[in-house]
Amino acid sequence: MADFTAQVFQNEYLAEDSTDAHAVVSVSCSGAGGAGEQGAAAEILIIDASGSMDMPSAKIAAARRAGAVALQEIVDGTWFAVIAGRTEPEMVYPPHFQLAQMNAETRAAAQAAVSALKPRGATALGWWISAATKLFEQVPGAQCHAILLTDGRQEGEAPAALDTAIAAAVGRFQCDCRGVGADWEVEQLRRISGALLGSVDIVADPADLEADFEAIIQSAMGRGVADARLRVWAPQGSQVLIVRQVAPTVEDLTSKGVALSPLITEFPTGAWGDESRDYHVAVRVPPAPVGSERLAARVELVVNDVVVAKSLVRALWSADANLTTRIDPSVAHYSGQAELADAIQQGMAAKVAGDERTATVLLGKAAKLAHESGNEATTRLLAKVVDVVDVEQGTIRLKANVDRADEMALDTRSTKTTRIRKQEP
Amino acid sequence: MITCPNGHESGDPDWCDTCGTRLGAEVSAGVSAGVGTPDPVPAGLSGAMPTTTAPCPNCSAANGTDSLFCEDCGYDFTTGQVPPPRNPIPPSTPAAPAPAGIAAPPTTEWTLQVSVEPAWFDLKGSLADAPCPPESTNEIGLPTSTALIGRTSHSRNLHPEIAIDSDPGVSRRHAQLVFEAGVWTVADVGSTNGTYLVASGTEPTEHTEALAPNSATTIAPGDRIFLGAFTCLALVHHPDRAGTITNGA
Repeated sequence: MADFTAQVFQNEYLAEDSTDAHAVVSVSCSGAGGAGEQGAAAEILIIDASGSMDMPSAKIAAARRAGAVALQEIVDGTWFAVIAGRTEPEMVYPPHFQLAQMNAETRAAAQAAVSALKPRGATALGWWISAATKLFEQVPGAQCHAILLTDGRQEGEAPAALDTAIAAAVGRFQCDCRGVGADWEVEQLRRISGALLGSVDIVADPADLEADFEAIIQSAMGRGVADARLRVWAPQGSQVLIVRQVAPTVEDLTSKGVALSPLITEFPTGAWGDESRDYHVAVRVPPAPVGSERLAARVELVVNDVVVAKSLVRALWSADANLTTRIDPSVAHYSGQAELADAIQQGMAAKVAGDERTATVLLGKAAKLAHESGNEATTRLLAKVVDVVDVEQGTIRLKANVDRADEMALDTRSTKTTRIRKQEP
Repeated sequence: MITCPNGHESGDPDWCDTCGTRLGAEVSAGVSAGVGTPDPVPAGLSGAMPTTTAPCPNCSAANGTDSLFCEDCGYDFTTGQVPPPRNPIPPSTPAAPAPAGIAAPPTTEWTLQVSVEPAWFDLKGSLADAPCPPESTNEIGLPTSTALIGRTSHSRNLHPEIAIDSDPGVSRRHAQLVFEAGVWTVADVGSTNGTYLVASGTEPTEHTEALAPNSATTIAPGDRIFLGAFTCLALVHHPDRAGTITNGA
């Protein structure tokens, strides 16, 4: 049985008339077991087999190999299917529009089918997702996960089709998205993965695809807790400002909240394996006189409507400026990391739009934030796109000839955060 | 259940379920200093009034759902902030003892039995949105020839002679009893949920009609008055105590 713990990091002291209580809640899970151990699990591979996958043909070759590796990693007993993404989604395995149950026989047949994948047609991301949603309907209550691999941007269907498909898929399955090559849109895949609680990443070199798929499936199969929610109680008259996952990646959950009552809102966190995630919660509470203490939020992790971990965010009004002006190191660190992700995404958007001034300012700010917070991975990615002149001041120059893949890598991985060294609460 | 200093019921013994105030012995001075002495709040008042009104969590007065503040006590619905402490207002007529509940058996010629009536609750219980309180009967004296039935409101300086504070279905100013020429009459004074007169020997039914507002109806011996969610009133005559009634209120 999975064991959850929650720890809260905050400066509970608020100055007189202050209203905003910020905290980082760190949730850890151990003993999660594997997917499918408690109820059914289902896995769908959506592999782009549009015409462009043949240009160069290394892409489709890598996709075939990666698909076979992924099938190898799917645990026996799991319901699965492989969809070829073309102008319309086509079944690779099983041959008919249904899910198959994994065993030695179906695995071999599916691997053979994937190895014979032929590219043709266009990229209809929305339609592919709709097909997966329908397939998952055959296993109600199962823990559903999908991988979406593409090399292109949505085409051959109305742009709105993607949003419609995403909306229908929310809460039905989780989806990790991978873009191979550099001709796909970060924004499109991020829209999918963001709504479907998955990750998004670039696999610039098709040769890396196998290892990546293996890792995704292993991590999906290692999530023994099918669905957990973050339940946030905040007092009457308060406003939940932010509920954001800040580690291992920045994912804003604020808009995903579902109100259970006027005071309680639940935020989806998807499936859990043995891992630790940090959440930044900010609540605006009605001010109280100095000396008053109030519970600003009760943050609970809920699995199957049972509270498995609980933490309290407090607010204590004080006249002592030494207490109230201190910002909790975790809150400060993760606020910076969120700001960093934001600066990179907006900076890259400005660069693409041709607004070099804005891009320079924002990416300069990003370089400074990444340096200050010791986020070396982001610093490395930034260095491929910009020349850092003065990291302390955040002065940079945009590089003249940048590999498109490096830009996309910076953009997609902007949400990865570093952790702060754990303090005792 | 614990009641927090702001008058909210809380299942959590440490922090109020509604406003998050620290509960128990650890309430710091700052909290209690800013808090008045709210009227006791009967359990589960929500929905006690028609849908356009909601009870104030602090004093249980009915307020429009779009109100920002309680019209009665000044409670802030948005923030849950309680009103500043209030100086208790002395009763306007010291001669009239505070009714309901406060000890000392009545010695007046006429008394009124105030009882919790489950049969009435079966008909009107939805007004309370809470289980029927245990059956009980209180007897209060009627020292004056007119008596207002209602619920106490400090801010409106309303101290009805017959205060039925525990029934959320009773209006602040609900009905008036008048003793004239040897008979008692009852008149509904514009209550929200009506006043019902049930003749001696009969039981209230769903067809029982409310009294027309602002018109006095004679109460025959043995008649019972039903109002609110579970309240039943019955006049009792004690001829041996004759002469205790006075005019004016």
